[in-house]
Amino acid sequence: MRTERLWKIYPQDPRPVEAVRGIDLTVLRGEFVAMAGPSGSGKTTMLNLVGGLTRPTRGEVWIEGEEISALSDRRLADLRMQRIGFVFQSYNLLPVLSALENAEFTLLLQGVPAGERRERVRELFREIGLEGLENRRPPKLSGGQQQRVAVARAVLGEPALVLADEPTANLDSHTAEALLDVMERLNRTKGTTFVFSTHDPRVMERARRLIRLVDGRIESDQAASG
Amino acid sequence: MKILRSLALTGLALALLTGPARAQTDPLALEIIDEFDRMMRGESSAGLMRMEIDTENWSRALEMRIWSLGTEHSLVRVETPAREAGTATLMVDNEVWNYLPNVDRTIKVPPSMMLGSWMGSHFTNDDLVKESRLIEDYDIVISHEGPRDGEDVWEFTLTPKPDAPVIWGRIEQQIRKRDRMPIWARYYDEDGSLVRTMSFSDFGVLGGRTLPTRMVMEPTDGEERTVVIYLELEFDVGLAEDFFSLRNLRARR
Amino acid sequence: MARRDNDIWWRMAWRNLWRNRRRTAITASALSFGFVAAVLMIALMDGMFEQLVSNGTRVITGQVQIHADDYRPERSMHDTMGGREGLDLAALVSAAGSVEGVTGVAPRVYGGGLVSSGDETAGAVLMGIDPRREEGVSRFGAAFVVGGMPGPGEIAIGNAMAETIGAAPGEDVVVVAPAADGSMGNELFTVSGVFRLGMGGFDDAYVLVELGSLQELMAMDRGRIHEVAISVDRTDQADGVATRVEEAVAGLADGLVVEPWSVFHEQLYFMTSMMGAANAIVAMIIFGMAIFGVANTMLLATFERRREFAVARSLGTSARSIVRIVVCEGLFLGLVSLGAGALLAAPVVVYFHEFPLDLSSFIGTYSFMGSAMQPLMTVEYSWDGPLVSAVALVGTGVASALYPAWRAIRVPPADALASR
Repeated sequence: MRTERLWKIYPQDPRPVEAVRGIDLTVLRGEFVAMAGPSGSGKTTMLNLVGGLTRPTRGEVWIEGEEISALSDRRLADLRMQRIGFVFQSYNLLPVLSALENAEFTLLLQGVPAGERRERVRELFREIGLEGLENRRPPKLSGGQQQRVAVARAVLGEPALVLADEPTANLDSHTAEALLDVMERLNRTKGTTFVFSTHDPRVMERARRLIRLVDGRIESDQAASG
Repeated sequence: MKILRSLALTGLALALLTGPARAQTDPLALEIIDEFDRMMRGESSAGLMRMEIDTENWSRALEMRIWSLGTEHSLVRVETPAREAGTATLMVDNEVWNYLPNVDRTIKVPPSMMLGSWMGSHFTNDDLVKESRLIEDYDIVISHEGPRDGEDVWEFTLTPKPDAPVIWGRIEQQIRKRDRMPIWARYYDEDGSLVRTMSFSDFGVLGGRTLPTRMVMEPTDGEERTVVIYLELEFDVGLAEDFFSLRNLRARR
Repeated sequence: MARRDNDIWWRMAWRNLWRNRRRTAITASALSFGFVAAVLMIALMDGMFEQLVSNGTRVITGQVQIHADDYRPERSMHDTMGGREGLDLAALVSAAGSVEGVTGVAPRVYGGGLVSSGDETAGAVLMGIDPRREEGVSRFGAAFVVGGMPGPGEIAIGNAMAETIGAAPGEDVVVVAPAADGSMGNELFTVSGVFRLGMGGFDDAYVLVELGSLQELMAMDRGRIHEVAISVDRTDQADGVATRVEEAVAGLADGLVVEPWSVFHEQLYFMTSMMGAANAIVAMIIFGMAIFGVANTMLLATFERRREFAVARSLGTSARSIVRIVVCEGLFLGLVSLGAGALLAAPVVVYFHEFPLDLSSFIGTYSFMGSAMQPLMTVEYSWDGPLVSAVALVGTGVASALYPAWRAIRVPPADALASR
């Protein structure tokens, strides 16, 4: 994943907001990266841009060698479905679907047959401690469980990149640690690339690369001691 | 009875015009009317006529004895064909009775049937009695005076007075000046379309008077027609009003 | 891609429908009551049409008629079926009678004439009939105040005419009619009975004459008739019966036309069509209003689920699938309402079928287009009304979902990331 001279300006009264101001960033396969910074520093906008949810005002976004900012909406949707996983701050599971149905949602979009989907979901659920919760609806799951389902949904489609927007913000520290364990393990075992936006010190601690954003620019970018 | 009397006397046009005149009517027309009115008051006649009817569906001919007195009384009795001999029609004022020998009954034509055909011809029962009312129902003006086809003529146009109970929108009548004989009469509906034409011909002398002995009634649409031909006619035959009675209507002679 | 496993969208739609049970229940109730009202309204209208058409056609005309092609509109006495030669009447009657759906066949001859008794004379429509066959088509037979149908040498007259000419059963009257050969047919007939149809223009003008007697009076051969009136078991099937009768009698003479009441009773047809159109407009307004109401509710639901749509989009769900979720929800709403409505409608329709609404205590009997109407709201069983209403109901559900669906796909996927 690579960005070049990336700008995002939101037209807004009284004057436009320059959320991202010329960011050049490269994340390699298998990295476990945290983007930190205060509110309004451009973290979420970066995730939106990199995830193909919004288009940059200027500059380029490359995902696995493809420049995505000029793709059609439909191609962008395909790209998200095939190559990008999302984990949201507020979990954002689909409330009418069971844990299993939520987790397999991306696989379903990808057209993976039902049997194989179920098998992959069950296997991962076992791995991340969700066994036996397959048929629960999100309101009947704890925050940590919900977020793990969301992580399962993000990684099961075997994306090149998982973007996580403050994934631990709503979790107590024990649950947050457990979730980070899960993601770290997936990063190690499956080689999934993770990019977080966060201001949670626990996340920054666990990240192997920490990028600090201030006012839409990269202030620092360093390999963490981790 | 228009057909019969108009022929039995001097001419249809004049017959049309008999009756009290009205202010809207042309003075010349009035003069002709007055002259004619004086002449025919109390006039009686008797004769024999032949009626030939051609329709799309059948043709037939009848011979009938006719009697009349003035403008308000007439009687017609069929002579041939034999099957219908004795069938008779009596007209007094505005009423019409038919006698049917087959059932030996006399039937007064009800008002609703006055526009129905008389004896299957192209004349209506109404035609038989309406003539004396024309002057009351129509304004009459001379719409043309002078030569037409080398003949010096008058043309009268009759238009209904407001609220007059008539079915025609307009009647036109041509009369030649030299002997005041009618040439034709044309009947128009309320839309101004020509509905039927009556024409007069074979002017000759019968009973000592000159008159058209043949008249043809033709509806505008179709190939149909009724022809009336006078075979015999006498005037001043001394008939009184009591001759035109229901008893006489039934009597075979 | 996602073509397999389409059932996920149906599943989501179905579950979405039940997320706000109270709202759904209220909306579905309104829709199902609308359905019941529509079914009942159509059923009552059908009953009224049936009565209207019955009254308009069962008194005299029948629901199907055969004529010579040149008979109408002039109704000249010369334009008989099969031309001057006429046709084999017995064969015609039996051919028409054997057609499916035909319940009666009555041959007729018409003439105009005078009926005279004593000094009084009245103009008349002379209707030559086969008294026995006429029973199966018209109501004359049941309408006799005194006496009965005419036999040979007899006539039956309406009560108004009987009064006008002062004639009573058993008395002789003269009938005069122009005959086909140009002569003036005239004959004595005995009055067999006096009828009263209670309809203007009939009791004072129609005179029933035994068919053969009228043909003789009018100098017409036995095989010459003007009209065959046919009754059918269901008035709304008249068109189909007319077509079958036309096929059945085609070989008997040239130029026969067979017409259903909608053609020869144009006014009545126009009237019923107008009423039908008016009802359709009312129904459209009702369902149109329902569409706005339901759309409003669904729009609210869609708005509440903006974030879910954004999440689904961010995960790569196509706009088409989003539309499918919302539209399917509308479809399910329609189907659920239909199920409830059907359960409600069935007993209501059965009730009104068994116990018609009798409004006569309010408005008495009334006359409409010359036919006496009973103010009895009858409900006929028919699938047409419920089917049309069902389609309209489900259509309402789907139509209501279209705009909300459009709004749903306009939700930007980036909204998923926006913090709460």
